Amino acid sequence: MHWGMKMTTERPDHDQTEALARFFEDARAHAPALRPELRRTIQQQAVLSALPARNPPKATAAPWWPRWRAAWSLPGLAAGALGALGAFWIGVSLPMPVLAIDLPVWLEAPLTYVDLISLHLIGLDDPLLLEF
Amino acid sequence: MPLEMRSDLDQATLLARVVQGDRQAAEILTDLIAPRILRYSARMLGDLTEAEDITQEAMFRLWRMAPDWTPGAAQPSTWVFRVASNLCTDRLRRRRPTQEAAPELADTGASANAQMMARTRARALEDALQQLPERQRQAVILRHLEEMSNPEIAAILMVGVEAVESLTARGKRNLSAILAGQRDALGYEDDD
Repeated sequence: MHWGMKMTTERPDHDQTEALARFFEDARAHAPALRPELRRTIQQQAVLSALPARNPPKATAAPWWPRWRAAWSLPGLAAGALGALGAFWIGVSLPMPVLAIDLPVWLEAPLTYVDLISLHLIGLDDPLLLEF
Repeated sequence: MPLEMRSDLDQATLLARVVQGDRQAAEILTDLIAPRILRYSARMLGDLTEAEDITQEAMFRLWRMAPDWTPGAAQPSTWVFRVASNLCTDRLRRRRPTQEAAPELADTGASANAQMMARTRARALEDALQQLPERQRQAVILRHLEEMSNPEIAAILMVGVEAVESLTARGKRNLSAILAGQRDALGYEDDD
């Protein structure tokens, strides 16, 4: 800044700063105050927010098995039924014609029905009886 | 206990006591922080009701995050000022399309006593503050009305100290220009 210019502008700047300082002073003196109700509300919020920390909720873990049972009951039932069918087919239907040789006569008729059913389901008779 | 003595207490320690359910610590922290937040928000927004909402919300957020407070990070008051500052910015953005209130100049002939005149001047300054750009307004309020240090303001506004100095200087220059025509009307010449 040019020196001569500074000399001429210094005083108004100083006046302005001083005037502004007085505005600030008046504003500080007439600042809004916190209402007692709001102060109380804020303090109550503090106390309430501290409550969970002081009294943490007891961990009341529910037993695992009812939830487990509920989740797995249907798939378990389906798997059980499928397993039973599979077991029946492997254990009874497939070897049936071989067993049938030694079976009493009265069992031949029901086992024939089972054989017919399994034949429809898998489309193949016992490979041992296919005479390869 | 007088506030002057309370202010020496470490705010982070007080906050830890609030978490333990210490009602007195909550009172002390409220008295330390909430009035300043109210004044700041009221001057930022020019609306006391909104300022009260912001004060309550900012303090509530402080209580909520108190259990997770990291000691040595920042002063709780700085953190609350930052929250309040963001809340004010949100409100100002929401109301931007509407016209901001024009300064209400005092009827100088009717102002009989100095008290009323001083209140009118305070009002004139607060109206002038509303005409400043937001960042300048924040810096001027925190520096000259809340009398904070530049590093504190820098932490609240999340800028460098140099930026705070620049914002404050420009804000004051603009305020002087806005208030220049009102000095005589507001009775400053009579006081001299």
